[in-house]
Amino acid sequence: MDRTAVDTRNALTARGVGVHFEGLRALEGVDLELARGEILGLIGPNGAGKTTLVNVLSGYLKPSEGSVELDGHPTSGWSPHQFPRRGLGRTFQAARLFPDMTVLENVEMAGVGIGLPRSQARDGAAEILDYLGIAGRRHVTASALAYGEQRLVGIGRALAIKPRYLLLDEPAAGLSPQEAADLLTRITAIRDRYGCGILVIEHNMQLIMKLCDRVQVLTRGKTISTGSPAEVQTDAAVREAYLGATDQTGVRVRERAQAAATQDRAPLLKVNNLVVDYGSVRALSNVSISVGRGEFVAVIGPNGAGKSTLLSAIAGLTRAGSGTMSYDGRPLSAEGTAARVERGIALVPEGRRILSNLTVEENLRVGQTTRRSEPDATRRFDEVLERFPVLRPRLKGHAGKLSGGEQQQLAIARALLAGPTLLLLDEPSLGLAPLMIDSVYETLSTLSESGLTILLMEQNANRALMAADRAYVLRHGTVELDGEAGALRVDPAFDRAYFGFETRVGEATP
Amino acid sequence: MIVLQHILDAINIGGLYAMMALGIGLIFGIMRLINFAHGEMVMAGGYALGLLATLPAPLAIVLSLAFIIALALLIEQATFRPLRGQDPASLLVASFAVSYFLQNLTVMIFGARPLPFSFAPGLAETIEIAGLRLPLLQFVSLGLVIVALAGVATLLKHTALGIQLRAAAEDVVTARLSGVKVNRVIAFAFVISAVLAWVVSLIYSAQIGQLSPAMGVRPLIIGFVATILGGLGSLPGAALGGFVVGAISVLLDAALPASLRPFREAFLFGLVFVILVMRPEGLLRVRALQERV
Repeated sequence: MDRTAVDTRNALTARGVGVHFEGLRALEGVDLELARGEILGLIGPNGAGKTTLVNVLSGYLKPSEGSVELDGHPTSGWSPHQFPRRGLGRTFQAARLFPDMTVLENVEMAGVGIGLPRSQARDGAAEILDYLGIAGRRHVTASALAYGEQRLVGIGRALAIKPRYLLLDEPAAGLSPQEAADLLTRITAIRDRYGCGILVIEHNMQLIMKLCDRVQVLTRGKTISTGSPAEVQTDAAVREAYLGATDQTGVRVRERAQAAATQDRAPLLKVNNLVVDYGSVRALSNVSISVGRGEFVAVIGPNGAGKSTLLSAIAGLTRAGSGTMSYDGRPLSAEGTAARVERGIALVPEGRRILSNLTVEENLRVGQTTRRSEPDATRRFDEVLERFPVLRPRLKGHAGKLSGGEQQQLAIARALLAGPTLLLLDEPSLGLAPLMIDSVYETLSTLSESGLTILLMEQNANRALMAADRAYVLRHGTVELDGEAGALRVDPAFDRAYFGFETRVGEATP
Repeated sequence: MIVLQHILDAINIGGLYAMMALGIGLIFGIMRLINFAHGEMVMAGGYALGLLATLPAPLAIVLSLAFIIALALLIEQATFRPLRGQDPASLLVASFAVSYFLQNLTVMIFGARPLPFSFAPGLAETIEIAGLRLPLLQFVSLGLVIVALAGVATLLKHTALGIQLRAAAEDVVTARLSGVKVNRVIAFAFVISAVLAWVVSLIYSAQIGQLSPAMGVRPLIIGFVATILGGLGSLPGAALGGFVVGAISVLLDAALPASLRPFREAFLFGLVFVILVMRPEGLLRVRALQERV
């Protein structure tokens, strides 16, 4: 498509937008164009800056540099309430309805917010609810709605401002496949009816590829690809942004002769038909995995696949709805997290969660103090420090001052001080520079060779598959595929399991 | 010499407020509970000391301390533990309920009229130093303030439970993942805050010379203001806030003309208000609170 002829008087345009949070560059030099009547998909791995960009476009966040124009008018001097009045509607990742208002009042409120008289707002709201097919629910309070209905009311509220541009932040998150399919039809119909430009952030790749006219891909705050869904799907840079680089030189691919042997023994951790619901949203449905003693297992999946939920359930931070888990031959049921730590399960949580106001040493000692009775605690402390030499000179400094890579090392060191048999890690590569990712994986490989059992959750599939013995692919809360890590790396079924569509050129897309 | 007197006053009053602020700040840090019943811990400590005054002093001290700790643990178990994880507003209202319950229980048992406080009357004697005649109480309370604050600092900085407490105050999930038994740590926080309240009740009751059911309210409000002033969630901030409020209070006492002195607290809170407008996040900024989701 020829994009040079975009009429900025009929488009939402961002030029060179940069956003800096206290030294962190969330966005850098991002351009975006959303013409009226088109549907643009905005995708990218976790932490790419998608929501930040939507926040800039909708006036919630002032960009540190660059500009946004709506229909050719610069928006820099506008206060937040002017954006909806000028025809910019948005939804949020969580529906953010007013919980005690009725459905009708929620949608009506948006009309009142842009200055319509109450009666006119009410008529408009009733008409929108009718259009969305939820008129029958108009007098139900928002908090009583099912999750899918809440999302729909969120869209209805954005429609009440008669949008010229509509920004949808993960509209399909938490929806069932059927609901997601309905949503797809719905969004297309809204575009045709209102003639508005629609920007969609989504992790559901299938939906994006079917829905959008164009797709823009962000990674680490920069645009790496723009084009038609077909072009983006086959763009090697996009695949690499999600799955990590494939042709890494100098990185050791693990050769493990004992990998096959480990599976014969009784598994250390066994998860059977695990189901976890958050309210009416199903996060995991019938997930079964097993981890053998001494094995290095990776669970790979895109954002929202349920990886963190699986780890939380194993660590005892989240209650399972149904299903069973056993560890070391005994069931894991009602025990709290502290008891599971004592049984040898340690978790390195997503985002590291170091205690930034405590010193590095105190961060490490927290884990140690809980098992003071052990005579070898001091020896273990020294051993762990030997493994992470960067931490030694910083023991007395505040942990918040460490770099991202050092914080990740600290988080792993802290978990090791509990003397675990099973180490759980949630996306250790998240937000780290490639060199740092390598060093984290180097550490994990050494730990695995010393006999530690590791269960790892990752989006960065290629890096994880190079380190692990076996892997599971998790998508929408279901295990889609599992097998030997080496085999999965070249398995054509892998991309379909991860993304929901083929990405490699030359393979037929049904 | 009058300056020395003022400095001593400022440390004494500031130390009292700092201990109140720490007692409130400890519980807030770990549970996000603003504990208005903390004032009644001071009141209960005063009554316990007053009623046990006929016993030998060491025995009275041990028994009253044990009573306060037991009371704090009972309140934690019976009221705040079942409500844990609820809306902070529910916890706040529950603490109001506990506060009024204890005040009215005291009225029921001992009557609403103030009782004389007769523990260690020797504290009222004056001694002469460098030409100043100072009550012995000033020195005893100075010593108690130093010991209590240094003790809490050591406990939090160097003991196993102290590190666990600070970890849980910063991030409960990470603390759990490190094997911390959060129930135990919370109980520990209530014990420390009870001991601090007991020290306050000893000094404060001796200062005002009487016991009354609502005697805990004033130190509570000032301690609470000090917590906010220092930066809610920061323990060093709470202590600092206490000393700042104490210092302002003594300064006003010295600087205000006699006719305005009865309205000292209006000026005190006015100044606190101005400080908060200039530094709304408190004197010490706390990163952990901002990161919490």
